[in-house]
Amino acid sequence: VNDSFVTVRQLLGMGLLAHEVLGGDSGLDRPVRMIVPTVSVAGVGELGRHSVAVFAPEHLSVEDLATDLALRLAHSVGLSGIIAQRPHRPVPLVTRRLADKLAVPLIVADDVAPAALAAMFDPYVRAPEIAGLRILGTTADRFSTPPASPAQLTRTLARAIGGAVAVADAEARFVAGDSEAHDLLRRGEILAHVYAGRPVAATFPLGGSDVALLQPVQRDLAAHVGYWLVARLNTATRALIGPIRQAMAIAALSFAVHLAADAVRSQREDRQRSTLLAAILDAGETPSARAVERATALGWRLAGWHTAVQIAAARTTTRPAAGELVRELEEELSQRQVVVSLVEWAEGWAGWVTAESEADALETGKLAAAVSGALRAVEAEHVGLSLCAGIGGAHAGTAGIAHSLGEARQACLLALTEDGTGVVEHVRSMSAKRLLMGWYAAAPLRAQAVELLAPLNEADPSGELVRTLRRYLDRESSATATAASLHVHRNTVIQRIERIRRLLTVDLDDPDDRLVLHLATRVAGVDWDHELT
Amino acid sequence: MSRRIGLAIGTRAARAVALDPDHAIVAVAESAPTPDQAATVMQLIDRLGVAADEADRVVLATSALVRPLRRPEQCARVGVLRIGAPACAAVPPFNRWPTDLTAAVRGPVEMVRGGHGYDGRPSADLEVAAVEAFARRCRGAVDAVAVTAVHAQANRAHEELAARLLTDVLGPEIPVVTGGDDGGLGLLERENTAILDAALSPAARRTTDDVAAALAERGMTDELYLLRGNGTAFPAPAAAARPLRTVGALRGAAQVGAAHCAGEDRRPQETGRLVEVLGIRTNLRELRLPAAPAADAHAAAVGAAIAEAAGSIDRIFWLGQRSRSDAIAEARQLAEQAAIRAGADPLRLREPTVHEALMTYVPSSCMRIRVQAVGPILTVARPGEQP
Repeated sequence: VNDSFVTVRQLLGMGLLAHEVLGGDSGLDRPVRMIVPTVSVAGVGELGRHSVAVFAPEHLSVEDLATDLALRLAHSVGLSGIIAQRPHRPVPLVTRRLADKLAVPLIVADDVAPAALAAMFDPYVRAPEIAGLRILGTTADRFSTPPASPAQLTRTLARAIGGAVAVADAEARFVAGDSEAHDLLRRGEILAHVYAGRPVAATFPLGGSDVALLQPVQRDLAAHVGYWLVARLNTATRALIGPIRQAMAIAALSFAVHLAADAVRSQREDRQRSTLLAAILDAGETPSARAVERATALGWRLAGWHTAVQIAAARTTTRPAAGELVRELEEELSQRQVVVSLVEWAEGWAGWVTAESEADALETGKLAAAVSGALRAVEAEHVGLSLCAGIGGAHAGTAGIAHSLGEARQACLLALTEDGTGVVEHVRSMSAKRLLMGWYAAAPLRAQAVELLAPLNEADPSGELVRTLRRYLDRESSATATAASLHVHRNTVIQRIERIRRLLTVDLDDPDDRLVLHLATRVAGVDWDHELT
Repeated sequence: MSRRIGLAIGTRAARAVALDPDHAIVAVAESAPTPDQAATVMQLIDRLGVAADEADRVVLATSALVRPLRRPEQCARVGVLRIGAPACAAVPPFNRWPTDLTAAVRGPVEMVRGGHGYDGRPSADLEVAAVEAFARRCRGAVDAVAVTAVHAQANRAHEELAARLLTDVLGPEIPVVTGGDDGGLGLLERENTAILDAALSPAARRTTDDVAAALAERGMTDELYLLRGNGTAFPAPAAAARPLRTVGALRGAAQVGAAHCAGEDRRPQETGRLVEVLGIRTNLRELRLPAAPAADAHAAAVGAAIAEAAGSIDRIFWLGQRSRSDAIAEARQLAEQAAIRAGADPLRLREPTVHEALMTYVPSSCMRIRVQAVGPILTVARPGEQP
């Protein structure tokens, strides 16, 4: 005896029969042993366990009371379902609820010819391996066009394999699909597999007759696992597990194509935005009609008083995809009432807010606070990422955008020289700092800085010595204050300073040397753009 | 642990019991009945203290569904269609009905050609155009419709066709009651019963829906049954369609319960005599009840809780080439199917009781067969529970 079955759900999922399940959904995972053309309601009571009875329209009208009897008899003999003609009149709610209560699937279709229908399903019922091939074929067909969303992915896959399916992200959070399937990820061994992050499919027995299947989704082979597909299946269908695993792999691949296409599209859009901004800025006060039209379509405002923001990554050990970072920043900013569309610009991202008048544009304190908050929020999401920003002055017209962007960029460079998280500099508050800007931007100083600090960097490529020296000089050569700010012991600072003194070619006690060194530590590590100066 | 809840709600007293699967009483409760049936049910259930997920069945014996007969203004207006003209037009509908009840219930009345002979063969085609014209007259003028065809107990085809035509015109919200559902040989009795059911049906549906909704709100089972006058139970939707069958439910429940409390397993047996309601002859049958031992106050509630489901058939079988035993086998099967539809577990039906009588006063070989099939109500395992 073959102990491997195809279930009602899987049979229906093959797309052979356009159907509707009127009730008894909870019985859809029952195995099917036989499809039996049936000519009388009373005959249902004579059928074998796990049969599916098929009625011609002249033998059963689903809207009639006789259906209730058929369902009750079906339940008593352990039928796996009833297929009948779709009725013209509405089916009484009582009948649907009875099907639900008894867990007997009541399936209706158009033009039911019982003998032909039984012959059509018969091979899959008798030999589930064939059904497996069919499932694989259907899946390949359905995923020949990549799914447009995770929700569509789970819908299509669930139908194809006849099981509950969910999509979770790399940290097992629910994304789409069946929430009970997603609950499987709470199980220790399954969660461990997900957290291990290795892109390997796996099968877990769930006790009883069910198994969980886990399938990673990678955007490309080198990438981390972006999503996991998780499905719950009945093992009465043992012969089908192989094909179903392959079907899930096909679905994962197809979804990966969608993700990759999405990434490429957003990169292209980002690049197009940058090109457009460059074109507008180059044109000065008279951008082309086409450029204005495209800018308007993106929601950019060209008239009015503009205040630009330039954002840059200061130090970073991990770098999320640029597109994602831009969307996160825009999202966080909009949560703080700053609606801005960011463009990849000058080693970072820039955007501007526009006011109707100069007076309105002057409220830069709020803008700075919002930007700083947004930077901190995004930094918190990505360990190792450090962002800073500069804000320009308010200037009018298209040329004003260019002007403000230029200032924002200078302010941003200044922010890059400072420690801390969410550092935002405003060009107006830069009176003293503006003076420093001149110094920082001076090529001789930068050359001098590199030369002065070279021994320290050679001895300590991690940059720890340079950072310690900078904090020490920032804090009036106080070892105690420096130790506190670096969260190290005071003795550590003293030892490092002793080492620095030995390594340096200049004298730390000489006021002139100390000033030059201090400036050198400020510009260290900042990638200055020659065009700016 | 699963609990079966029996409720007996009359005009003066309302009592409830909870039984364990071995029919032992585990809790009793009582309260004063209120006009709001659902509120009374929920008050009793709260006092029983049975957890929502423990109750796997609620059986209600109540006089509420037929109470409007005493207050005709609460009855629905009914359109009456009789199929069988001109032969069966001698006695019109509503014959010998109380005047006030007729005034409240009587809507458009029509007699059309159609119907069958006693052997189930059609005597005339159904006059479809006349049925449709009647349906249009009923639109906006009635709350329910009663359809009765001559010899529908032998062949229900014309009643069913007419009912579909009516529903197509009037919509699914207007109940259409057909007289042939329950058998019985007399056209007038079947018609009277159908009209009374139709007159009670809209209010009965509201009441049973209210009770079911109140149970569902507590997260309790949707397994709601009502007790019939013959001491057996039927599902709430069936009770909403045929409320007249609950006439005498409290008395039937008390008899069954009293016998059970006395340790006897005796149940009411149907007699051939027909029940009269307010002087109106119906096709409901009287019961021969077991001699009642000293009644317990909760006997009726116990009777409801242990009620079984029954189905009966009362028909003339035309033998033709068939043997007597074939006819009896068919009658048994029909009665068993009726019992299964009333909620009986198909695998636990008991051997039915059969009454037969050869009819000597008709010109061909036929016999009248009455069968009653009874069995315990089907218990469905809740999801995740092993049956």
